[in-house]
Amino acid sequence: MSLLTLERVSKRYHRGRREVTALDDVTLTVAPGELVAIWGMPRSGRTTLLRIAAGLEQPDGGDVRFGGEALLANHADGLPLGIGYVEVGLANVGGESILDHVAMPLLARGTAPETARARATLQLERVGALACAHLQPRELDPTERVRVAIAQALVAGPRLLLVDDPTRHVDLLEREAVLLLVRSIADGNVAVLMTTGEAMGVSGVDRALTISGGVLRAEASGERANVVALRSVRSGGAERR
Amino acid sequence: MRSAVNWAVLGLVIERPSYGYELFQRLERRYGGVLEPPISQIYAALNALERAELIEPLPEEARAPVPDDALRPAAKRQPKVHYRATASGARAFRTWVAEQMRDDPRHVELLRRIAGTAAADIDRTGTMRALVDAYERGCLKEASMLPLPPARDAASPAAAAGELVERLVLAARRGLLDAHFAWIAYARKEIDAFERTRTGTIDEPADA
Repeated sequence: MSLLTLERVSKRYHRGRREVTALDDVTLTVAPGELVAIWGMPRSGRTTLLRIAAGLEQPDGGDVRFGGEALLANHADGLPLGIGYVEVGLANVGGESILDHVAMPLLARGTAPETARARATLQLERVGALACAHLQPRELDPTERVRVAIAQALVAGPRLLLVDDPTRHVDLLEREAVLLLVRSIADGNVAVLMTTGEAMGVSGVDRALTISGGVLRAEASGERANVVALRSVRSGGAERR
Repeated sequence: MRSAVNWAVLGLVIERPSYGYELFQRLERRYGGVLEPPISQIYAALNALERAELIEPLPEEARAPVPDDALRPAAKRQPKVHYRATASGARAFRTWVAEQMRDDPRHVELLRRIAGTAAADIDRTGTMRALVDAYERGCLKEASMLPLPPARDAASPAAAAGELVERLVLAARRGLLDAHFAWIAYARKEIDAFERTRTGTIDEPADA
């Protein structure tokens, strides 16, 4: 059974009197433990797709299910249980240490501080960023920011991790290590849906798709390279209105 | 010389003097998914390269010992011809690589097909979209088949140099794919813009 299902999902934004189509009739499934990469340029709809999969935004049309349940019904505030969302930005949040920053999702759910910090320590070790535990967010380099953001998304034990372009700001020589980390998380039976803007991001994944104009275009399986068209060629880009 | 296999074999011989079967295995590892010639084509390539004086047989005394040679009985041993690149072979290869980097044949070929097919087809933008979609599927397939680079943990300097070559080759292939993906996105926008001009619709691009 699929862990995550998006079925015929669409999303439009309004910019003044104009309407912008971000997603158009997107259907996608992610199986437990599967690593799926979506290649797309900035403004292709890739981030909107992840935010809708995370329940951070609501679609205008279509259905989103996580573990067979309607995602919207679970969504109170923050992320639904079982989903981790990695935003690489890690804006210059307050003055707390990285350890407390990583522990925050657990603290927000009422976990005892000592337990939350112990679990945060484990996750920092898992992502290779234990040395950052007592640093401040502003002291991190771009690669450490990605690792710490992944640790924070993992701390509550998600079954699905959504990762938005993890190598975007990372030094060229360190990108593969970030991608290998993402691969190892999927190998640990956490499903991963990741966006990427470079060919390296689809290396070694279980399934790769492309998105442009809010439309999923092509799909390839990493091992069998079974490539299929997802949409007829006549519908170019987001539907014109 | 037009055969990509011949150039690939020449590149491998430049890297390290070698013989037919070993070149076949290295070519498979290096270019798997892009070039997959039968072994007979490797031998044909070696013959063509030798005729063109781009490679030459390596004198037996100049060869490094190959472990499996030592295990075979002397009477049954078939001498393997090892080849090394000549100076003109190395020069020719450098020139060819530089040309390839400037002029990726897949782009040129695709554009030719677009021009040829679209001219004969009433539904020109539909045809162009189909070609761009097919091109994207090919690029995605190639990108998803590429491995992540080998780890930087070689035990010996020679192995580390081999890994460096692998990493650079992979980076070159990924870089080309990045360029192809960027071109695909550009081509779609151009086709969209062309259609909007013809139908007179005003539209906003997708966002986020």
